Amino acid sequence: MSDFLMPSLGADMEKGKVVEWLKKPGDPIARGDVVAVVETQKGAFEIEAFEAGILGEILVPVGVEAPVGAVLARIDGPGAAPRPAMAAPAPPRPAIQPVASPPPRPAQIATGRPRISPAAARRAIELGVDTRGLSGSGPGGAIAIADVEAAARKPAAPQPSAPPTGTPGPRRGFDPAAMRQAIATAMARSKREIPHYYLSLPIDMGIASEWLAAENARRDVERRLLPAALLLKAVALALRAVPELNGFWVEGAPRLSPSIHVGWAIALRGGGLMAPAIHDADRLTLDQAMAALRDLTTRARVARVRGSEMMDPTVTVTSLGERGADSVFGVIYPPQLAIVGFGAPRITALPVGDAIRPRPVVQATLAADHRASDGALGSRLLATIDRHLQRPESL
Amino acid sequence: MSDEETIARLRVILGDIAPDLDVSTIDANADLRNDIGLDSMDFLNFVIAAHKRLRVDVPEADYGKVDSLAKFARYIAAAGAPG
Repeated sequence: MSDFLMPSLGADMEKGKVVEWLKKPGDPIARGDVVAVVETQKGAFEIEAFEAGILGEILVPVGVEAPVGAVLARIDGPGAAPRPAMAAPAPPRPAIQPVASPPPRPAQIATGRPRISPAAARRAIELGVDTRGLSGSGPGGAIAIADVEAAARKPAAPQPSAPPTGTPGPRRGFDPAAMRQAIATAMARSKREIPHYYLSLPIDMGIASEWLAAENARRDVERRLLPAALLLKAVALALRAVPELNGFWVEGAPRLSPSIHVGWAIALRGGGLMAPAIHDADRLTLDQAMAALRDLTTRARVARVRGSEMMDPTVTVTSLGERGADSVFGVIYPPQLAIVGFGAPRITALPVGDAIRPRPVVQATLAADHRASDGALGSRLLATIDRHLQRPESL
Repeated sequence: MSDEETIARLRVILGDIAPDLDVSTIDANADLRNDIGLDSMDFLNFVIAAHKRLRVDVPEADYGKVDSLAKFARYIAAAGAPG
């Protein structure tokens, strides 16, 4: 038997609220299955099982808050590790008892997330219908457009119309003010505790841009690459060469990570941002890196980010994209050791051979924890990123 | 298909790839990236979805010609894409 715990989705999280159980007692669970949805200050996240087994007793019902480390449910059967494996160090666990909080609402749904056709999902967004709790008339009980429209015509029905907190809209449990508070806590801690040092290096993206344009011209639109995929891969490979910047500062010493999980900063249109992990980014092909970026940004827009992606980024990358500012000197997300930034590309006059040429230049920056490393090492990271970006075909 | 109809279909497609936007109120002449706030990933997803649903192929070099809903509709009309 093992326990399904309230995970730590970042150093700034103290507690979370269960807003949905996608499995019910007796359901078989495979490792990686999404079992529950938990709402934090940063929004709602899908929490996966780290062990296979059978879902046993649910100890924290929908609508109830629990501290990080609290047992949310039992998992019976094969696999018996007592707690989820966490790469990121969790804060000391508070006493394990559910926090007093409003009782669960009677009409809340405890069964799994309904299957829904893409067209019906779109219609639900248009009509502002909460599809949780709708019964479907489509194949296999899937929710169809007609079901959504019927629900929209019956506003008086005892339907849970929206998540209990947060603003209306498709991002479940997203409250901009709460997210602001979470960012404030993490960033204030970072600036209070972490002695940052900063480095920057202009990187000539001419070769990479030409390679990308030629590559994209002969690719189907679905397989086109964005510069972000090159940047992600270049950083991940550079961290292999400079592993001292990949990991955490824990109890007065660096704890380096053997895996490279790149937290990719994604700005949310409703305000705020998150930096969920792209796992083992150094081992992805460029196409896989691009697919991972697309998948992650798409899910971040609709609050379908998984808990495991919030737990264990070992470094953060923030890229301002094509239309942002020239450079960004990041604030390290504690307890990580470094954050790499990329500004928008600018056409700049650069010496090439013995001539001056207009070249697209991106300012790469590094903010790193001076307790764990020095500028010479940080310089090596930026130089290695540069070297990789001059050979895009080998990324 | 008229440009108006194409714009209406583009709105639905945009709503799918950016469900956090209220697509019904977007000005058809607004710049999708500078005014509406699509990032390069959103924009690529929009072009991919339009390719699938409206069978229009927009090469990367033409992205500047489809940066608003109205321009995208005119681009589709000019390309003679079957609607």
